[in-house]
Amino acid sequence: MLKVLLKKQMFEMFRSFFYNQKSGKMRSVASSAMFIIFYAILLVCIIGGMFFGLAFSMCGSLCAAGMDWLYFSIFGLIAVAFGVFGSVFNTFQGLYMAKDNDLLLSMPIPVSVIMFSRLLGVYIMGFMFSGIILIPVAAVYLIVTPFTVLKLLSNILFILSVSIIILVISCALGYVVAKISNKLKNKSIITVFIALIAFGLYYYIYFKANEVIGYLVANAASIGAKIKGSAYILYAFGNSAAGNILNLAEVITVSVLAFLLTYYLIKRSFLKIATSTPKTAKVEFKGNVSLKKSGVKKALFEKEWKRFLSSPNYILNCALGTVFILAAAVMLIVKGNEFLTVLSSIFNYKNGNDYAAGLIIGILCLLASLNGITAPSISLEGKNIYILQSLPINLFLSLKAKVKVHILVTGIPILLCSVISLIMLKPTVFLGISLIVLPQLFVLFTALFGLTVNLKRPNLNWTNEIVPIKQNLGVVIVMFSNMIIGALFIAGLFLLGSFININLYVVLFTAVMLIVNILIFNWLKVKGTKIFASL
Amino acid sequence: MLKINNLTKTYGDKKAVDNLSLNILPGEIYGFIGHNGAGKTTTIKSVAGILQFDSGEIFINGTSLKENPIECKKQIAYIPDNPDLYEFMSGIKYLNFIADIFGISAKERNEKIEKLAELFEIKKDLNNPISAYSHGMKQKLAIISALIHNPKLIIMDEPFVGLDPKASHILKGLMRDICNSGGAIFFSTHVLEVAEKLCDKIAIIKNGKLIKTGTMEEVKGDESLENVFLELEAE
Repeated sequence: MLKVLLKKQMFEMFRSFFYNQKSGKMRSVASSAMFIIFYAILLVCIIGGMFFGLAFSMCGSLCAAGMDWLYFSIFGLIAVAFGVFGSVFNTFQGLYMAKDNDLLLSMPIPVSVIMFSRLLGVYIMGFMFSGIILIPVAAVYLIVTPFTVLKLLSNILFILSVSIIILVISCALGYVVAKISNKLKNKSIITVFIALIAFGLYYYIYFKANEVIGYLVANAASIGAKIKGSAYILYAFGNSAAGNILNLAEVITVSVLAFLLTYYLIKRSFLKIATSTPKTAKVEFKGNVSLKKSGVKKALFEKEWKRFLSSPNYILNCALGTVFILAAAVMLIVKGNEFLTVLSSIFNYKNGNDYAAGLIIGILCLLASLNGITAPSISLEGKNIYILQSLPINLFLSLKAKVKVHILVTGIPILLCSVISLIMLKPTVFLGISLIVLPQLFVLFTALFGLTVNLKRPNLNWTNEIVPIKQNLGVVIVMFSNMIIGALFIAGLFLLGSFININLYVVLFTAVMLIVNILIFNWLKVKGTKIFASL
Repeated sequence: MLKINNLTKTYGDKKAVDNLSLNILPGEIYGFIGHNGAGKTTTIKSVAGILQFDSGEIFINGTSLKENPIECKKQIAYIPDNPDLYEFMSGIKYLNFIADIFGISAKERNEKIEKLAELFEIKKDLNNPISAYSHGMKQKLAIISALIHNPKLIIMDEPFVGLDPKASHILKGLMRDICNSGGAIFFSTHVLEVAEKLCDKIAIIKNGKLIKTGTMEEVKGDESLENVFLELEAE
């Protein structure tokens, strides 16, 4: 029984390697192999290689100072954080919100077996996330320090124990997420808010990482002594991987006991959470219906706007750029003068200030390229596409409504940045107008281009909206193309700056943008609308 | 009201609908029956203007669907077999959206929604998100949204699936009322007893081809519709 469930669980986890969600067909052996190799290269070579390099830079000095345990404590904690961050939402989805919970619970399968198979899935997920860090870390340790079989065994057991710790923490947090999720009413707004805080923390830690690691290595002795004295658990945790049998036994025992306790607690609440219906903001309709009439354009825009706001995945993956644009606006207000002085000094020409305005246009275009709201908007119609197709409207109006959402979310913050830059930089009238117009033309381009690519590469057969948003080559193509165009504008400014007058350069770019926008707009109006109608 | 001339639609090498012709007059409830994969949904979606067909013509009240799809769609309503509605909207917002698209006045939409929501007993749920609705409630909402603009022709794909007995009864009554006031209904069903009792005319489709059509008496004679259908299927 367990074997069958595990097989199903494994297939579910690695389904995308063997199954093409877009076409709904199984991949060929060659295609699956290519996919697996691609991901192996991505994970092992890029992320694993990054941690290998990081471990290599720290291992020698820490181990030479007898701080092997600190080396493993640091990377062990990073692995736990990485593993928990990576698997907590999968735990929530896989353990409590699995779509086949009802089906499996209706079969003659003991609940404990269902739970165990699910937990094993979470364990493997945690192992993958932590292994990508700890396997290179262990490899570096075994290369840099004299090899012993005890060290090898300790490292293996340490990695397995860390995965159990990740499982335990993920289950606990998954439980909290499931509980909160069942009670939350405005889930999408709260999810976006929490995710933004998490992103903020991630970037803060990312930018501080080198500083912190440098500090740790430089002050290893004093920090080590403090941890040893006041945080024995952390010391024992790291020391277990360094070959201390007693500490290793302690870590394994604690991990296993924590797992058993988690298993017991989850078993008690599993049925209740897995079979509960999430609460929604239910408000009984009272009184008479009193609706107001709107025009078709407004109705279509409101529909698109609601669609956008209803999905945290959509907001976080396709409109995160707005956060950066607004942050740039704040930065311009707070440190604008310093920033503009630096920009002006980059250009060694007599009219450096004008070129700084050009550079700001390029930066605004780059920031705008981070948003791709229209890129999955056709795919997101999914099974609902028949509604628009069956209504008596020109479908081009619906396409325009999608563009309007992109412009509202991206264009207005960009306009704010343009106005602030204009006030601070005080460029010539021509460049001032360009500072407003060109970024807006670029925003329009990103919206139209996203829509075009999605019309050409739609995916309407999805069961989870994350597929058209995240696992969509079209979205990647759109975002990268937009970034490249923004970068090309800046590159051209540097390369051609000494040959071409800045005004001419901006005029040329504006003209190209305008022509391209008109061409795409007309294509959407005629061909795009026909494609939309025939999807 | 609805005239289908030589409709053909292919998917790859397979002819889903093969040279199908039908004529539905005002006041008629026209049932459309056939085995799974016979081409019912393809025909219905083509008539609703959702699917583009390869050849043939469809006329709604004399207007060509190919040449003037928007005018045609203003006169029809489509209720799908699976009511996939905008789950990010509440029931009332969805109905308002549909009313806006059809340009229904505020007074008329309020009266219509009030009446139909009370009739189908979902008025108290109209503020809730559609994602919280059961299949039957979504089906009721889809029916209400289809009736908001007083369509002349209603095209329904398996309309009774998921409806409770009371709602089914109400819908049957509404279908008859619409036809009595000059409208027409074209709907597919697998429930032959319902088709037998409700329809004025019936069309049987097999492998994309229309194999029998006419008034109920012409099609079934003295036999039950089920027997006739099974015999035709066996041929």
